[in-house]
Amino acid sequence: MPNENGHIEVISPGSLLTVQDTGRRGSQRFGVSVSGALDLQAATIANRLVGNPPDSAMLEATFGNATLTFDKETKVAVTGATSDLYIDDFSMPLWETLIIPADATLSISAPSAGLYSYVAVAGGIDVPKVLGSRSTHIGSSLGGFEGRALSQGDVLLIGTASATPIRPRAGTRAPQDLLRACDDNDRPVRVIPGPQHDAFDDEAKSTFFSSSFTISNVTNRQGARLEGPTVPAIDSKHDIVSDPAYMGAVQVPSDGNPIVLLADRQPTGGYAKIASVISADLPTVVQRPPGSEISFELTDLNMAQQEAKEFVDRIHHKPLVEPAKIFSVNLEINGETYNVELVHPSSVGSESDVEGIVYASFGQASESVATVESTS
Amino acid sequence: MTQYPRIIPANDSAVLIEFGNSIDYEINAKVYALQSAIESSDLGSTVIEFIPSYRSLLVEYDVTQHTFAELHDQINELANNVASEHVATVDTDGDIQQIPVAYGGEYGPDLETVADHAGLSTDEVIAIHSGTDYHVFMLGFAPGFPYLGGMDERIACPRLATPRTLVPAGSVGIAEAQTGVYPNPSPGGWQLIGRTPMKLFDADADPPTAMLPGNKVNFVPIPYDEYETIAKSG
Repeated sequence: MPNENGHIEVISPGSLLTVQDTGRRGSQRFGVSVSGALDLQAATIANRLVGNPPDSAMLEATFGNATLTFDKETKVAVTGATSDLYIDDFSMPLWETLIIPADATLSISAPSAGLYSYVAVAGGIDVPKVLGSRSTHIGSSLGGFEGRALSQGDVLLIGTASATPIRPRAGTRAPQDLLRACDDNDRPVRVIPGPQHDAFDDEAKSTFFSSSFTISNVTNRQGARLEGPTVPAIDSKHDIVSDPAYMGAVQVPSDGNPIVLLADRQPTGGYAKIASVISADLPTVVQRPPGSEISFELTDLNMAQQEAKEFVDRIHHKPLVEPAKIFSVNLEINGETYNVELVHPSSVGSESDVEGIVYASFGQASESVATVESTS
Repeated sequence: MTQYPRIIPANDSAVLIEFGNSIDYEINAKVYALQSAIESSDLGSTVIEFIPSYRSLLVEYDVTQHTFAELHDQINELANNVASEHVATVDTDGDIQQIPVAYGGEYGPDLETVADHAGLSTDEVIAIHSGTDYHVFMLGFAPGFPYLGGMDERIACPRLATPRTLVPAGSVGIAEAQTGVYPNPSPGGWQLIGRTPMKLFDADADPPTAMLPGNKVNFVPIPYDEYETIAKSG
């Protein structure tokens, strides 16, 4: 039976393109890493914009430069890093429900800010679940597309993830405060003390909290490696009896350079953890490209837990913004009245000169697409 | 002195319970006893994930449902119960899992190095390595990778000066006073003394690992032709 939902072909994967969902949970006790989308804020919003359940699989592009073609008309949304997004030759907005026409090409430029982009498609990416998740863990060749990063020419099936009751129309946008949290890179990242903070004396802690670190070039999905002043443990006791690891743990190996553990971390590790990044600030950490500055600020657990709750509530429940209408008409066809709305995703508040892709919404029934050339 | 059990927040959605700070059978047994106690308590359904380790248990929970303060008292009570009880350090089921190993030759290229270092014959190294029951303290590092305790120190041997870029799946190795098995192909610096044809990690199986944390395992020498038979049937 032909796949009714169509396919995505990878024309260019950029530096690292993988299939990710919210991560592989429940198998860390067997030594299996969680993996999953690094920026859960951008990933969650992308799924909402195409009406997918939150655990649907999508594509995560690293440092843009990714090009994909779609063989069927498909609802898509691209979130995360700030890049130029194109459907064929038309510039399209990020953080917005789009409809890509059949046989069209979606391309994401290298980002001007941020590092990871998320491409969600209605129905999700259809790869087999491994231990309950479609996330790719490259280090152990597990999950995703054949357990590996995507290459040029790979063809992905679009899935049939059951749509949520909310079916966003083309032109639906994420509200402003749900866009990249990482535009405020000047703000220190908030942490609570880590389980082995006692392994560091006051001077080392003062160095950690008063210094600005640089994200190293060897940063990857496993961890953000920091360069700057070293943070020595008392008596150089950086090694501990191997202990559980977790997202956002700031561990300090014997070279004194902190590492923030991220999605592809191993489930256990043997270095002292001085601090733990609060979950609400994780998107701003993961989206900092190599060479960015990062500094840390101590907060308390109550504040961290309150922030975490609000973060989860915001990314899952904060209402999306309905599309702006260009015009709306009633059409009578065979005695039935249809309301037809034309909306344009990037023309909100602008004058009548419309160039780009225009979406026509036929009541609640269906959506189609047309392209309009500039009239000026 | 640190008082154990120690219950501390790891991050805003995980709590860490420590029973000590060393590699010790009794401490490790308490980690698994606490995991079972939490699983069978009314907290069980709220836990997202457990990560048991040598001497501590990480409990990841849904921060929209619980605060650390709410969980602390319940976990504290369970942890203190476990800490004060005598917890059996040997599998009460009596099941010691048998891991077949073809020692030496192509599958154990470093067996002679280990024997030379120990001043023993290769047969003696095999007899010592396979004559011990090992405790699976935890799985970590990579899918299904066991941290085993109980190796006879007579066959301890330093790691390779230059790690291999690819160690085949099933390789049984020695590094200092530890022994272990690589479930999947990976780079590694352990001295390889043999290889098991057993599949130690299978993502489609439930559970996905042949060795389970807290269990006992034993290596059983097999001839090379039996290795081939098991590998083909596996």
